[in-house]
Amino acid sequence: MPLYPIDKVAPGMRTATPVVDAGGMLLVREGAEITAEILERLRSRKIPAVDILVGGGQPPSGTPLSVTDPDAALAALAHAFESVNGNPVMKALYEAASERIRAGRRP
Amino acid sequence: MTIPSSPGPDRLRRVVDRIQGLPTLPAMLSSINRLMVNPRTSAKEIAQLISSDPAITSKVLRVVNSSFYGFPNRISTVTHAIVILGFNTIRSIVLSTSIFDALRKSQPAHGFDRAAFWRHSIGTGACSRVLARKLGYTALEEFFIAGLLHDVGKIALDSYLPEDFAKVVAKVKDSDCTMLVAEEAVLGVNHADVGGWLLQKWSLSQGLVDAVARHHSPALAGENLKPAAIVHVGDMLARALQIGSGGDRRMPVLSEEAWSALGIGADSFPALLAEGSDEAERAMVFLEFAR
Repeated sequence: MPLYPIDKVAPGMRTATPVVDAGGMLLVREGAEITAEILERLRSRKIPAVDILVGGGQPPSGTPLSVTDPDAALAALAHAFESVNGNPVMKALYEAASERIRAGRRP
Repeated sequence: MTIPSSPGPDRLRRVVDRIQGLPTLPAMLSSINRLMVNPRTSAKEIAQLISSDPAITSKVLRVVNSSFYGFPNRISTVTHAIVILGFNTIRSIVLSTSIFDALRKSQPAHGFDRAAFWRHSIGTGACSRVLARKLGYTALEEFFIAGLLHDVGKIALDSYLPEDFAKVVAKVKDSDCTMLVAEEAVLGVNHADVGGWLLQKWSLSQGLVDAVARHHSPALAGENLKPAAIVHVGDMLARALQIGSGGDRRMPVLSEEAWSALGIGADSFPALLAEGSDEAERAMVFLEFAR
């Protein structure tokens, strides 16, 4: 997994490892696609370099993306629970997980 | 509700008989087990055994000094680690790092994202540990390992039956079904069956074997219903938290028996998700061993 200096990182690339700041706070999850917004955040946090996934943009077929965008995360969650939400326990789990995403509390 | 039934020895045998050249676990693990059954064994004796392998020693020290355990002062010797964390925890760390080591060497087939897989496995381990703590268990590491290894059958299939597993991955993609459903359709057995078989082959405890083999069918786990139920729900929590991916985009069906066995209410989910998320973040130290 090559380490790219931040000035060589471009939107569309995908992280090979989680990006954390000097205090250990998670900034970008592993496997996330770099967007212009993420790149700006990394620059503002003075991240010097990022581990980039070789082979570029797309993840292997058949596996989901790591979702960083809250709307995409909510959509992925709704899709995952679609066929099991008839069960009240699963519905409660879905609602609790959705609420976390809406509140910005993500793993 | 559809619960996968046991595939029966013949169907499982037909699949696992084609799995050749499985890695073995280090002999050190059976030596540790032998020492641990002797009540007179001292921390120093186990420490000496572990310290005889520098690679395992360094991994144990890396884990015990990580935020997963969160000790304020650095632990610099295995003896110190055993005194603070206990025999069982240290054995669990040796076991999990050894299994990562054994499986990391196998080559992945095209289409299965191993990095996402291990993140999901660690997330499930962390959520299972959180559930076990809530239910008053003390041997929390056993539950972490059971969660960590719950999908290990997928790695065995990916590594040793790559053509069949590629068909499973393709079916998941085409039908947008769970891995479990695709495996049953393509192979007639599922990753839980294969994982249980693998752990049995490695002579791991029956509790661990049942928790892994029955994590999609806890009602069939007999006396190990509760451990299997913990991993079953731990998997659901990790999926709800979107930690990594086990290879599909759909939630599996909840086992009513498992949920009843745990005796917790659905109003616990917000707290369980919060704790599971924090614990999973700390547990990601194990990810280094999967690379």
